[in-house]
Amino acid sequence: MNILGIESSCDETSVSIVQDGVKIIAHKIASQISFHRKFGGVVPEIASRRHIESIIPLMNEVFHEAQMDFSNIDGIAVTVGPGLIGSLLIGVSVAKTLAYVKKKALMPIHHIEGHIKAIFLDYPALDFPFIAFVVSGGHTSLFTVYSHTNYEFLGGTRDDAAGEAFDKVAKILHLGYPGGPVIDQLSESGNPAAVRFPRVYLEKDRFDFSFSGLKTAVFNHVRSQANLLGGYRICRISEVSSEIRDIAASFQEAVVDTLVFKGIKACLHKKVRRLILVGGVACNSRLRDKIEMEAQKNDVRVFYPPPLLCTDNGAMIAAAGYFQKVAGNFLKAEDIFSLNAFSNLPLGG
Amino acid sequence: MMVLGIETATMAGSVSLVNEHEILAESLVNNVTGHAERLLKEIDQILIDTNKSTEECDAVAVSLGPGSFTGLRIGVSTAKAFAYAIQKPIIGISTLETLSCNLSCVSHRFICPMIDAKKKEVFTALYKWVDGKLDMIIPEKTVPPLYMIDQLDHSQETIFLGNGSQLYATTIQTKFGHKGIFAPFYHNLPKASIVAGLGLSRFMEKKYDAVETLVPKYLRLSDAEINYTKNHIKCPPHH
Repeated sequence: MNILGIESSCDETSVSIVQDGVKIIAHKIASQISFHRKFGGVVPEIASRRHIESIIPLMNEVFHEAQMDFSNIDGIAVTVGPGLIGSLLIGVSVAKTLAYVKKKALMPIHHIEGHIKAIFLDYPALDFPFIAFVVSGGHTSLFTVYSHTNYEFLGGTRDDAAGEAFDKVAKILHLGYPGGPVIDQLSESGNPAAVRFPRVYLEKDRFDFSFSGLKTAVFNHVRSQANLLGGYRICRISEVSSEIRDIAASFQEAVVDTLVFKGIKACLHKKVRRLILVGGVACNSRLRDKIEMEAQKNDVRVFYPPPLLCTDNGAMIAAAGYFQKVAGNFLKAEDIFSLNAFSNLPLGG
Repeated sequence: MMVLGIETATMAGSVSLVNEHEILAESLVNNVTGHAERLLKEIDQILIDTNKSTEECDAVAVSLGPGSFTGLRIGVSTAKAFAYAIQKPIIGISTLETLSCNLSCVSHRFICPMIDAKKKEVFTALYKWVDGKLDMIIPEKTVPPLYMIDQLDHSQETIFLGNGSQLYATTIQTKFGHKGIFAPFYHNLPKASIVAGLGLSRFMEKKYDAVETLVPKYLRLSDAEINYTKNHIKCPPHH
């Protein structure tokens, strides 16, 4: 069964065809990072404008690469939320219209569910239950996943998402946007124990997160060190001072410690021995190293998708669409019309 | 020959089917808060009402703006996907031209459509019917209403229409006096039947747009870009 997946919830437009929820037939992403970089973050209006430019060319490329047309497609899956409403509406409008004209089943997909389903593109036979840890620019959430359609929400961030904290701290340190990869890279040559930034664990028996205090701590630290930034602008990574590297590494360590602690704790609390780490921050090398270390000590196995499938993509949406369709969860003709996009959307209560 | 027209540039959403002789169907609802939930249903309804299938459409014409950014994107992305799915041409039509065509063949007066662009500006242009064709005298732009009004010849009878002209009626009257004429309310909305009709003419001339690259006509940068330019224009280059 071939599902066409469409993702446009933030700043990547992506279209993919996935077979049986596990095998990528064709996969295209148009990243907009270069258009948002000078603004230091994603500009919703610019994101929407890029999506409408990219979506049909991407679809052409995907069908061409797959050597397929609509007669080979058994259903269309689209991200309906959460995300930027103007961006979501492009994907949703296109998916609805295609499903209507081509008389295909339409599967509305929760963006986080998509991130979780990315794991099956690399581990098709992964057993349930598992703990899903979604860590990205927009989300920091823990779920117990009992089946393809049964999610239990354990906790999430009360303010900034982890990836958002990386972006904001990168901005404070004049490192540009996006912040995740550059902080990861600089931290390799920085001392993670140089500055003791706070680890906010909130209630120890809960699985919620808070990163806004950490961001403020970095800001205050930088402000207290006169001339630390000295009006410089970063052109090359090699030019970044050791002090800045130390701050980056110390900040990253604080985020990673919190994430690792809560992630492993969730596994132990739910007595589940499999942990999947998904979302853009799952690419962070320090997070991977430390969570592997802790997981081994606690007899937990960690899985993550390849980097290309950690960030937003249509393949994960197509995969999620397949599993929803198999479970009988899809919209029929008369329900397609009123489908809308939602900037806020809960998953698993 | 049959063309589907889609108009979602303003709070008035409409869809229409026309052929070279007549309007087959049109559905229009004003003050729509969510085009996304309504548009496809309305397309389906006029196809049912006329007993036509999606594949019987020979082209899709869509109102390209200027207008509400989100409304335009819902209409244009729906039109693009529709044309892509039936593998027929897509044709983008100016919303200001669509609006002006509510007053067809009024050859002795100028026509000045104004669509409220918020932020105390209007999307506007100046047209005149010459030999049965609508000529653009002043190109489309986004400006404060007074800026446009000051550019016009106040001694010439000019018809104003669109929600922007209602909003700034006093300013227009002050400058134009009795030479400023306001179109009756039933001419103030852009309509899908005119989008489809203009699209049909373009279709006959084989002047299609590319479904891959067609985008709304925004006529305004995003706020982020406007502010970025404001903040950076006076800075010396970094050394």
